[in-house]
Amino acid sequence: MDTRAIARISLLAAMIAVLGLLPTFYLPVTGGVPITAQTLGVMLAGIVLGPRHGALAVLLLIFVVALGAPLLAGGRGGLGVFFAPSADSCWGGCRALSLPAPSCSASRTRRCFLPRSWPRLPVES
Amino acid sequence: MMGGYLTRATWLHRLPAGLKLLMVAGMNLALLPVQDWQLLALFLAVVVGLYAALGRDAARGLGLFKPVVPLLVIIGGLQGFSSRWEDGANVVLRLLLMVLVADLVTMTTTMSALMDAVEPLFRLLRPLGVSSRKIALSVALVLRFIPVLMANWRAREEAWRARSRLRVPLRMVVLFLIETLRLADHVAEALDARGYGRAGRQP
Repeated sequence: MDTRAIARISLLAAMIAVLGLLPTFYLPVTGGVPITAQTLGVMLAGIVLGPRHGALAVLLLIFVVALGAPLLAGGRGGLGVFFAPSADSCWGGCRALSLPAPSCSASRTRRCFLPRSWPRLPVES
Repeated sequence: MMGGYLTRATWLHRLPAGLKLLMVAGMNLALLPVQDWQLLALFLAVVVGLYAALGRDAARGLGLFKPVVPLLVIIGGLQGFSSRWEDGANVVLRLLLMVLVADLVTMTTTMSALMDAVEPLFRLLRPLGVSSRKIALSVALVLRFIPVLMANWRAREEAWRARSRLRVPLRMVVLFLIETLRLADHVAEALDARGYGRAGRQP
C-alpha cells in the first residue's frame, strides 16, 4: 500500500469522524443512537475509496475510537461503545460498505473482502 | 462510553494497559455464561464502587449513561416479556457491566499506552501484510486532521450563512469530500517528499 492510499484512508476516516461531530446535521438522540451525517460519510468512503480501502477507513476509525477518542456520532467513544446496545451500528457501518462499494467503485471485479458472517458482539444474550 | 480520560493519576493508571485489556476481555468471557441476576448485580455494585473509589470526577462519568437508559429498558422489557423477567434483568445487568468496565480502561489509560499495548498484536499479523508502522501513521493522521477538517467545514458553513438565509444543505458534503481528497493527496506528496515511502530508509 503506497503513501497516497494511506493518506486517503486516514483522511476519509477523519472526514467520517468530522461528519459525526457536526451539530449542523444532528437529530436528537433516538434510543441511544443519534442520527448524524456519519452514516453518509461511511457510504461516501465506500464509494470513493472502493470496497477494500473504504472498509479499511471505517476499521481505522473504529480502532481510533477503541483507543479512546470520542469520535462517534454525538461525541461518544472509548472501549465501552463496543459493549453498548448501539454497538451494532458501528459494525453495521463496516458491513454497509459491501452495499454501495461493489456497485460504484471503479474496480468492479474486486469483491468486498468482508464476509457475510461478520462477527457480531454478543449483546443479545 | 463518552471517552473521558481522567487526567489525575489514580492507582488504575499505574497498571499496565495490556493487563487492563486482558482483564476486560477475561471478565467479559467469564460473565457470558452467568445466568444469576443476583451475582451480576453484585458485580455491578463492585464496579460502581470502583468508580466511586476513583473519585468524584470518575463517578460523574456514570451520569453520561442517561441516553442509553431507554434502550436498556426496551431490551430488558422485551427479554422479560418474551421469557422470564430474570432473563431481562440478566441482559441489562450484563450490558451495563461490560460498558462500565470497558469505560474504566478508557478513563485510566492514555491513547499512546493503549497503542503500545496492542502493537504486538499487529506484529503477529505481519505475515498478512499488516505493518504496525503504517497503522501508527494512519492513527496519527486521523487525529491530526480532524481539527483541520473541522475548521475547513466551519469555514464553508460560515461562507454559506453569510450568503444565504437557508439552512446549510447536505450537498455541501460533496465539496467537503473533494477538498478532503485533495488534502489527502497533498499530505501523501509531503510525506513522500520527506522520504516516507522510500524503500530501505524509513523513519
